[in-house]
Amino acid sequence: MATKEKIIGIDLGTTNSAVSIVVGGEPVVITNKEGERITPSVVAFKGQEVLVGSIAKRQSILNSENTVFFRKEVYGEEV
Amino acid sequence: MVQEHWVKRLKKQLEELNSKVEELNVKVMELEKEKENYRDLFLRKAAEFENYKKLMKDELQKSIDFANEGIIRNLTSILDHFRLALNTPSSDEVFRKGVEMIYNELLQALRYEGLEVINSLGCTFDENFHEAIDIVETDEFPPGTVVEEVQPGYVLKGKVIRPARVKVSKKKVEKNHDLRGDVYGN
Repeated sequence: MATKEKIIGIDLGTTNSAVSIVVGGEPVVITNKEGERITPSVVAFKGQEVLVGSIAKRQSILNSENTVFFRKEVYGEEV
Repeated sequence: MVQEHWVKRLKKQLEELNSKVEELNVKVMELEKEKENYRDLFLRKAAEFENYKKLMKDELQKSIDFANEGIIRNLTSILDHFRLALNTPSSDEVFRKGVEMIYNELLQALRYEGLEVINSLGCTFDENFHEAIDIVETDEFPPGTVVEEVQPGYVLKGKVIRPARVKVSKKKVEKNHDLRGDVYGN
Protein backbone atom coordinates (compact mmCIF):
# COMPACT_ATOMS: atom_id res chain seq x y z
CA MET A 1 0.00 0.00 0.00
CA ALA A 2 1.32 3.41 -0.92
CA THR A 3 2.18 5.63 2.01
CA LYS A 4 0.50 9.02 2.27
CA GLU A 5 3.67 10.91 3.08
CA LYS A 6 3.83 14.47 1.80
CA ILE A 7 6.85 16.66 1.80
CA ILE A 8 6.19 20.34 2.40
CA GLY A 9 8.60 23.20 2.74
CA ILE A 10 7.70 26.29 4.73
CA ASP A 11 9.50 29.58 4.33
CA LEU A 12 8.62 31.47 7.50
CA GLY A 13 9.69 34.95 6.57
CA THR A 14 9.74 38.02 8.76
CA THR A 15 7.33 39.85 6.45
CA ASN A 16 5.83 37.09 4.29
CA SER A 17 5.66 33.30 4.36
CA ALA A 18 5.26 30.68 1.65
CA VAL A 19 4.55 26.95 1.55
CA SER A 20 5.61 24.52 -1.15
CA ILE A 21 5.01 20.85 -1.81
CA VAL A 22 6.98 18.41 -3.92
CA VAL A 23 5.11 17.34 -7.04
CA GLY A 24 6.82 15.03 -9.50
CA GLY A 25 10.11 15.65 -7.74
CA GLU A 26 9.82 19.42 -8.18
CA PRO A 27 8.87 21.94 -5.51
CA VAL A 28 5.65 23.85 -6.27
CA VAL A 29 4.58 26.87 -4.21
CA ILE A 30 0.94 26.46 -3.22
CA THR A 31 -1.53 29.31 -3.00
CA ASN A 32 -3.43 30.38 0.09
CA LYS A 33 -7.20 30.84 0.43
CA GLU A 34 -6.98 34.22 -1.28
CA GLY A 35 -5.14 32.70 -4.24
CA GLU A 36 -1.83 34.36 -3.35
CA ARG A 37 1.48 32.52 -3.37
CA ILE A 38 2.83 34.48 -0.42
CA THR A 39 1.04 35.20 2.84
CA PRO A 40 1.86 38.10 5.17
CA SER A 41 3.40 36.74 8.40
CA VAL A 42 0.66 38.21 10.55
CA VAL A 43 -1.70 36.50 12.98
CA ALA A 44 -4.60 38.12 14.83
CA PHE A 45 -7.00 36.94 17.49
CA LYS A 46 -10.51 38.31 17.11
CA GLY A 47 -12.69 36.88 19.85
CA GLN A 48 -12.53 33.12 19.32
CA GLU A 49 -11.44 33.53 15.71
CA VAL A 50 -7.83 33.32 14.51
CA LEU A 51 -7.03 35.40 11.44
CA VAL A 52 -3.95 34.74 9.35
CA GLY A 53 -2.22 36.66 6.58
CA SER A 54 -3.76 39.53 4.60
CA ILE A 55 -7.03 39.56 6.53
CA ALA A 56 -5.13 39.79 9.83
CA LYS A 57 -3.05 42.64 8.44
CA ARG A 58 -6.09 44.57 7.17
CA GLN A 59 -7.68 44.77 10.60
CA SER A 60 -4.45 45.38 12.52
CA ILE A 61 -5.08 49.01 13.49
CA LEU A 62 -8.51 48.10 14.88
CA ASN A 63 -7.16 45.26 16.95
CA SER A 64 -3.54 46.17 17.55
CA GLU A 65 -3.31 44.52 20.97
CA ASN A 66 -4.23 41.13 19.52
CA THR A 67 -2.36 41.28 16.22
CA VAL A 68 1.14 39.86 15.95
CA PHE A 69 3.73 41.01 13.37
CA PHE A 70 7.41 40.15 12.99
CA ARG A 71 7.04 37.16 15.29
CA LYS A 72 10.07 35.51 13.69
CA GLU A 73 12.34 37.85 15.61
CA VAL A 74 11.30 36.24 18.89
CA TYR A 75 10.93 32.57 17.94
CA GLY A 76 11.98 30.30 20.73
CA GLU A 77 11.20 32.81 23.42
CA GLU A 78 8.49 32.25 25.96
CA VAL A 79 5.41 34.42 25.68
CA MET B 1 28.49 -52.02 -5.85
CA VAL B 2 26.88 -50.50 -8.92
CA GLN B 3 23.73 -49.85 -6.92
CA GLU B 4 25.70 -47.99 -4.23
CA HIS B 5 27.33 -45.90 -6.87
CA TRP B 6 23.91 -44.91 -8.25
CA VAL B 7 22.54 -44.17 -4.80
CA LYS B 8 25.52 -41.87 -4.11
CA ARG B 9 25.12 -40.20 -7.45
CA LEU B 10 21.39 -39.68 -6.93
CA LYS B 11 21.99 -38.35 -3.42
CA LYS B 12 24.50 -35.89 -4.79
CA GLN B 13 22.07 -34.87 -7.50
CA LEU B 14 19.33 -34.50 -4.89
CA GLU B 15 21.58 -32.30 -2.72
CA GLU B 16 22.42 -30.20 -5.75
CA LEU B 17 18.74 -29.89 -6.60
CA ASN B 18 17.86 -29.00 -2.99
CA SER B 19 20.56 -26.36 -3.03
CA LYS B 20 19.22 -25.08 -6.33
CA VAL B 21 15.68 -24.99 -4.87
CA GLU B 22 17.02 -23.09 -1.87
CA GLU B 23 18.74 -20.62 -4.17
CA LEU B 24 15.58 -20.23 -6.21
CA ASN B 25 13.50 -19.72 -3.08
CA VAL B 26 15.85 -16.92 -2.01
CA LYS B 27 15.62 -15.49 -5.51
CA VAL B 28 11.81 -15.70 -5.41
CA MET B 29 11.79 -13.89 -2.06
CA GLU B 30 14.09 -11.21 -3.43
CA LEU B 31 11.90 -10.80 -6.49
CA GLU B 32 8.76 -10.72 -4.33
CA LYS B 33 10.32 -7.94 -2.29
CA GLU B 34 11.41 -6.12 -5.42
CA LYS B 35 7.91 -6.51 -6.86
CA GLU B 36 6.41 -5.07 -3.66
CA ASN B 37 8.80 -2.12 -3.87
CA TYR B 38 7.85 -1.50 -7.50
CA ARG B 39 4.16 -1.85 -6.68
CA ASP B 40 4.55 0.60 -3.83
CA LEU B 41 6.48 2.98 -6.06
CA PHE B 42 3.89 2.63 -8.81
CA LEU B 43 1.01 3.37 -6.40
CA ARG B 44 2.81 6.37 -4.99
CA LYS B 45 3.65 7.70 -8.45
CA ALA B 46 0.08 7.06 -9.62
CA ALA B 47 -1.29 8.96 -6.60
CA GLU B 48 1.25 11.72 -7.17
CA PHE B 49 0.27 11.92 -10.83
CA GLU B 50 -3.43 12.13 -9.92
CA ASN B 51 -2.64 14.97 -7.50
CA TYR B 52 -0.51 16.64 -10.14
CA LYS B 53 -3.33 16.35 -12.68
CA LYS B 54 -5.78 17.88 -10.20
CA LEU B 55 -3.33 20.66 -9.33
CA MET B 56 -2.67 21.42 -12.99
CA LYS B 57 -6.41 21.39 -13.76
CA ASP B 58 -7.02 23.88 -10.92
CA GLU B 59 -4.08 26.00 -12.04
CA LEU B 60 -5.33 25.99 -15.62
CA GLN B 61 -8.83 26.99 -14.49
CA LYS B 62 -7.38 29.78 -12.37
CA SER B 63 -5.23 30.93 -15.28
CA ILE B 64 -8.33 31.06 -17.50
CA ASP B 65 -10.47 32.79 -14.85
CA PHE B 66 -7.84 35.36 -13.97
CA ALA B 67 -6.06 35.75 -17.30
CA ASN B 68 -7.21 39.36 -17.47
CA GLU B 69 -6.67 40.14 -13.77
CA GLY B 70 -3.59 42.27 -14.45
CA ILE B 71 -5.29 44.52 -16.97
CA ILE B 72 -8.48 44.78 -14.89
CA ARG B 73 -6.38 45.64 -11.83
CA ASN B 74 -4.77 48.46 -13.84
CA LEU B 75 -8.14 49.66 -15.08
CA THR B 76 -9.46 49.93 -11.51
CA SER B 77 -7.11 52.85 -10.90
CA ILE B 78 -8.76 54.60 -13.87
CA LEU B 79 -12.14 53.91 -12.23
CA ASP B 80 -10.77 55.52 -9.05
CA HIS B 81 -9.73 58.61 -10.96
CA PHE B 82 -13.16 58.84 -12.57
CA ARG B 83 -14.76 58.65 -9.14
CA LEU B 84 -12.45 61.36 -7.82
CA ALA B 85 -13.30 63.55 -10.81
CA LEU B 86 -17.02 62.98 -10.27
CA ASN B 87 -16.73 63.84 -6.57
CA THR B 88 -15.00 67.12 -7.38
CA PRO B 89 -17.45 70.04 -7.70
CA SER B 90 -17.75 71.24 -11.27
CA SER B 91 -19.57 74.22 -12.76
CA ASP B 92 -19.86 72.50 -16.14
CA GLU B 93 -22.75 70.11 -15.58
CA VAL B 94 -22.79 68.86 -19.20
CA PHE B 95 -19.10 67.93 -19.06
CA ARG B 96 -19.64 66.26 -15.67
CA LYS B 97 -22.53 64.23 -17.09
CA GLY B 98 -20.32 63.10 -19.97
CA VAL B 99 -17.58 61.97 -17.58
CA GLU B 100 -20.18 60.10 -15.55
CA MET B 101 -21.47 58.31 -18.64
CA ILE B 102 -17.93 57.22 -19.62
CA TYR B 103 -17.34 56.04 -16.04
CA ASN B 104 -20.56 54.01 -16.04
CA GLU B 105 -19.73 52.50 -19.42
CA LEU B 106 -16.25 51.47 -18.27
CA LEU B 107 -17.68 50.07 -15.04
CA GLN B 108 -20.31 48.14 -16.98
CA ALA B 109 -17.66 46.66 -19.29
CA LEU B 110 -15.59 45.58 -16.28
CA ARG B 111 -18.66 44.14 -14.55
CA TYR B 112 -19.22 42.04 -17.65
CA GLU B 113 -15.70 40.64 -17.07
CA GLY B 114 -16.65 39.67 -13.50
CA LEU B 115 -15.62 42.77 -11.56
CA GLU B 116 -17.70 43.89 -8.59
CA VAL B 117 -17.30 47.01 -6.48
CA ILE B 118 -17.18 46.32 -2.75
CA ASN B 119 -19.94 48.02 -0.75
CA SER B 120 -18.37 49.69 2.22
CA LEU B 121 -20.05 52.83 3.48
CA GLY B 122 -22.30 52.11 6.45
CA CYS B 123 -21.42 48.42 6.45
CA THR B 124 -19.85 46.61 9.37
CA PHE B 125 -16.08 46.39 8.90
CA ASP B 126 -15.15 43.04 7.35
CA GLU B 127 -11.44 42.30 7.00
CA ASN B 128 -12.23 39.96 4.11
CA PHE B 129 -13.16 42.99 1.99
CA HIS B 130 -11.96 46.08 3.86
CA GLU B 131 -8.63 47.41 5.00
CA ALA B 132 -8.82 49.71 8.00
CA ILE B 133 -6.56 52.72 7.63
CA ASP B 134 -7.97 54.93 10.36
CA ILE B 135 -10.28 55.00 13.35
CA VAL B 136 -12.92 57.69 13.78
CA GLU B 137 -14.38 58.34 17.19
CA THR B 138 -18.10 58.88 16.83
CA ASP B 139 -21.40 58.11 18.48
CA GLU B 140 -23.31 58.43 15.21
CA PHE B 141 -22.57 54.84 14.17
CA PRO B 142 -22.19 51.61 16.09
CA PRO B 143 -18.52 50.69 16.73
CA GLY B 144 -16.92 48.82 13.85
CA THR B 145 -18.92 50.58 11.12
CA VAL B 146 -17.28 51.89 7.95
CA VAL B 147 -17.78 55.66 8.14
CA GLU B 148 -15.61 56.68 5.19
CA GLU B 149 -14.31 54.96 2.10
CA VAL B 150 -10.93 56.39 1.15
CA GLN B 151 -10.33 54.05 -1.79
CA PRO B 152 -12.90 51.65 -3.23
CA GLY B 153 -12.22 47.93 -3.29
CA TYR B 154 -12.90 45.39 -6.02
CA VAL B 155 -13.73 41.71 -6.27
CA LEU B 156 -13.00 39.78 -9.47
CA LYS B 157 -14.90 36.49 -9.84
CA GLY B 158 -15.06 36.07 -6.07
CA LYS B 159 -11.42 37.04 -5.45
CA VAL B 160 -10.63 40.30 -3.69
CA ILE B 161 -8.16 41.97 -6.03
CA ARG B 162 -8.03 45.06 -3.84
CA PRO B 163 -9.72 45.60 -0.47
CA ALA B 164 -11.55 48.86 0.12
CA ARG B 165 -9.44 51.21 2.24
CA VAL B 166 -11.74 52.56 4.91
CA LYS B 167 -12.07 54.49 8.14
CA VAL B 168 -13.90 52.68 10.92
CA SER B 169 -15.96 54.03 13.79
CA LYS B 170 -15.11 53.62 17.41
CA LYS B 171 -17.09 54.66 20.47
CA LYS B 172 -16.16 58.18 21.51
CA VAL B 173 -13.87 58.26 24.49
CA GLU B 174 -12.52 61.09 26.58
CA LYS B 175 -9.46 62.95 25.37
CA ASN B 176 -5.94 61.61 26.04
CA HIS B 177 -7.22 58.06 25.68
CA ASP B 178 -5.27 55.77 23.38
CA LEU B 179 -7.05 55.80 20.03
CA ARG B 180 -5.57 52.51 18.91
CA GLY B 181 -8.09 50.38 20.66
CA ASP B 182 -9.92 47.26 19.83
CA VAL B 183 -13.21 47.83 18.05
CA TYR B 184 -14.15 44.17 18.50
CA GLY B 185 -14.47 44.49 22.26
CA ASN B 186 -11.46 42.23 22.98
